[in-house]
Amino acid sequence: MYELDMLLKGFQTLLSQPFALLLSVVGVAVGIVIGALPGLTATMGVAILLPFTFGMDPLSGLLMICGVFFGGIYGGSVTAILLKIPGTPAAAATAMDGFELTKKGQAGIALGTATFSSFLGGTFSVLVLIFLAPVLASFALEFSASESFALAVFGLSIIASIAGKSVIKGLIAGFLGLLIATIGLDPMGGFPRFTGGYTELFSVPFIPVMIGLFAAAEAFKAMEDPAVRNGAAAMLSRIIPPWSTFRRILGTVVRSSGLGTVIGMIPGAGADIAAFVAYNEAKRFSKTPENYGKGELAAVAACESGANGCTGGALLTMLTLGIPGDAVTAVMLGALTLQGLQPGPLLFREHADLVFTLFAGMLVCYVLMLVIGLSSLRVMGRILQMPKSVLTPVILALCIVGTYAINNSMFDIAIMLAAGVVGYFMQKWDFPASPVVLALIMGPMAEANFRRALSLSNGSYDFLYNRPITAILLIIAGFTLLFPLVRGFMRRSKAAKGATRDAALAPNPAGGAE
Amino acid sequence: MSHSSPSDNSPSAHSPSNDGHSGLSRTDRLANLIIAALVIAVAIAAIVATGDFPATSLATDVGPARFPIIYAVALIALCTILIINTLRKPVTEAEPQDTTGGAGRFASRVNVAVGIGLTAVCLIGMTYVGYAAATVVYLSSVMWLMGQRNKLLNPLIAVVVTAVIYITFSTGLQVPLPVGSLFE
Amino acid sequence: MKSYLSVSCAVAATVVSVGLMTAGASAAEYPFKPIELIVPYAAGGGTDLVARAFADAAKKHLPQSIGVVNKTGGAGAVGLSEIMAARPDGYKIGVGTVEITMLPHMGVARFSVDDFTPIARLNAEPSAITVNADAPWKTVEEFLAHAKANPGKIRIGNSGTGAIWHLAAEALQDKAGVKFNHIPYDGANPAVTALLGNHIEAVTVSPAEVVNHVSAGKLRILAVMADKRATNFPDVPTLKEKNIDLAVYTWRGIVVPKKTPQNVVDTLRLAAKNTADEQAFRDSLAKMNLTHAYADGPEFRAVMEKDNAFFKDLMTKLGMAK
Repeated sequence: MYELDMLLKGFQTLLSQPFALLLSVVGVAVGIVIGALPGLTATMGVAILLPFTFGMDPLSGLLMICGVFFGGIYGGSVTAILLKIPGTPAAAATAMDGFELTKKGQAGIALGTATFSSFLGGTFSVLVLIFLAPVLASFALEFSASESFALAVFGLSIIASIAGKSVIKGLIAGFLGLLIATIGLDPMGGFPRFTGGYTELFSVPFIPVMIGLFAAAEAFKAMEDPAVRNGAAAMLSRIIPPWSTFRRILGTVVRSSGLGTVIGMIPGAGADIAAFVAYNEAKRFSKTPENYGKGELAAVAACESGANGCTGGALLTMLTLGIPGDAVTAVMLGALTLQGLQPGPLLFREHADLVFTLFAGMLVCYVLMLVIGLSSLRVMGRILQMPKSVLTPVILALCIVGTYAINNSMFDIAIMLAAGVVGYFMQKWDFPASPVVLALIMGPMAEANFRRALSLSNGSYDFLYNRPITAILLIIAGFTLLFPLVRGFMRRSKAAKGATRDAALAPNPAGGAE
Repeated sequence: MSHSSPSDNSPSAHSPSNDGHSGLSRTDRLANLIIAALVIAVAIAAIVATGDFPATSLATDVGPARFPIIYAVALIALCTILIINTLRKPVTEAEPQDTTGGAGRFASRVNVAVGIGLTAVCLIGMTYVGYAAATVVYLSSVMWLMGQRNKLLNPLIAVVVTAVIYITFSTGLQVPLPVGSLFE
Repeated sequence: MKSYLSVSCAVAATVVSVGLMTAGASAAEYPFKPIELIVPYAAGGGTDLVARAFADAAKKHLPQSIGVVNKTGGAGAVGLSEIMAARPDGYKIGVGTVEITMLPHMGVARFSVDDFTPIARLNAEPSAITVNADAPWKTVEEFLAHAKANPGKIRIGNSGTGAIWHLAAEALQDKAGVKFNHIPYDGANPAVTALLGNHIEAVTVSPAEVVNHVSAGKLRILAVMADKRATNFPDVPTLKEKNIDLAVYTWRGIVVPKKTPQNVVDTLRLAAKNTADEQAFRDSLAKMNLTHAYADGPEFRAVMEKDNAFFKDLMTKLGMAK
């Protein structure tokens, strides 16, 4: 088999290049740190390290960038689980159940599961990239504006399943997010909407809002209760999940990895969308969907394998077609070009040796991520042993500096603070924050692509039903939206009769750690 | 492990609503109504603001106002449903725990308000005295606010944390942090 | 009079800086601390890469290093406003792009072209009419004839309404007397992707943004809107050869705020000239398929003023000007 031979050859070449391997380690480690810090995303990490690769040979430079990419996507999960700070937008999905697990005292196992799932999702997608690249190459081109619109609608329908206790409140949060997402330059005409004359608001300050709603709101909440102020937060118990637990979530991991890879291949859709979609599908197929949102291990596994599954998919589209699937690969495209490599079908023919060595290196990067991740988790877990009175101000300081770093803008910090205050009150009265984040991701995508599709079809609405992918996605979206509503009504009538069985309120089994 | 789950054992205002859909406490009922009214107000303001949006030059475009209006109308509808649902639910009397904890709840609200205020002050201060100075003061005062009242340890931790953050961002990530207009 | 003004400003700046700095560093010693280079676009994009290549190559020609800072948002308006409002001491300089001459007319910017002193233009790219390789049109004449016969049927993708490549297509429509259906995308890359997938008929982005696909045989450039043929594509004609008098360029260069003292401007101009001549810088641009187009301050100003008038005229005609 051609690919396998080439891959083995690639591993051999790689072994003779210790410098490239060393840089992969550096890249993965830097990526994890950048991903874990609020505000700094994998995109920014890749952009920061890009100038350093100018002087390197192509393999070393590209492997370091891949390391940052992979590590950056995974790193967001660590702080999302431990502190409810989603380091990256994708980790906002992980934070939903991950932080609930931490509150239950199961931070260790959540982190371990996240690490394994990231590794498996990423490795799966790289394998798809290696062996199926030529077959799948043209898939991305099928996606026009109408398909992207349908994907965004499907993404938005997920709001119904992450709404939390009250579907109405979840939908209000979601539509509020959609309305906020229309702030800024109108995607078609370039007209500034609801900006009040601030150029800073020309694009929605999405990451500051996300950091505020999740991390700052949680920090403000921590200030209110005198009882927890002085105590240590929690301990990390075991990290590696027992095989029996892991076997239970393996199906979820496989499904999410596949979903992530496919979504990664679609231009304009990245790890954030993949994480939410994977969450939704995991819940749809779960036997215990009522546990989602209250600390379900499979949810963490789904989000992380989905997000990292994106990496291989995005690289596939970028390498085979020269089309960047998301912001990170757009920067990587620049890096490749700078190295004198022109991504596209010719790359595989003219530089086959380099490409397969790079593939081998990507697999190595994922193994490195697993090793570095698992071995650093204990250290990271020590964060939780810091007294809350120290941890909370440090979190806030990180939120401030991380938000500033996105655009070097004080304005963004003010937005973050405002979102934090709003998020605090939302949380107090059961308005969930994740629908807002989801709406901010999907809203602009839905509107821009709907209007673009309309222009492409010269004003006809035919595109909604005569394009197969669009129609199928819209139908699935309809089901997703209605299913939880129906189930909610059914459960409500049942709950009205008897006592509610609520997993979150069950007494905490892991008592007496102190 | 009793401290691990702040929301589970804290007597916070929303805990009664966890008991299912049987009823709402007076506070929750009021909060729901106020929030719904606020959101409706925001939605109406948004619809009014779309009045000035010009049409795009593209013939087949629906214009910049269409989507915000759809979202705003949906919000108004959803909030109306929330208001009706809230009014239909019976009011449960506040639990005794809440009445005795009234003073504590007031204190916690003050705490949060002070914390938010301090963050705002830190923000404003940063533009004048720079990132480092503002953060050190901010960190030590929030620690004090959260019950750590050590006069020596607080500033020390604050300086160390600030230094670590500063070096990470400024040198490691090449993000130039504000130096403050007084020192520029 | 202008130079008199800048001299007096220089004197004032010197007095102030002497007053502030106990070390007594005068403007003559410029630069005595690192320089910030504001890039109004995201890290990793074309403008950012040019800026970083410049900052890297400038090390040899300036005693202090240049640090690149990305200030994104508002289609460049945020970063350009920041450059305009910077203290005119030469320690915060910026990358100026063609948007300087476009945004002010749209009523979305607080600056105008006169708020900047140009130091040097580094790079310029023309617009290129590109179609899918499967498309029936082999020449630009065939393409325009088809457009004329089917008004509004040819869908041209651009990098956003009011962005440079949209205006290039509008200008072509105006000069050639045809009617296109303009489809805005979120940047040049998504527009090219749509062209590859045959969802649109053409794009008017720069050759650098399609070169990969052209060499892979997926896309075909019909013409460039330039004064002379591109070195990378010697076979592609210019519109001028086809008797359409149209040249639309995007450009990138170094600019400083208007009131920057003359000696600082001169230091930067010399450094920029030497940096632009640097082989490493030329190589970096070539690797990115970008065209090296150095122009000194005064020449750069002429380009800016010409474009400013051109876009003002075009946008007024299109009803986009405010």
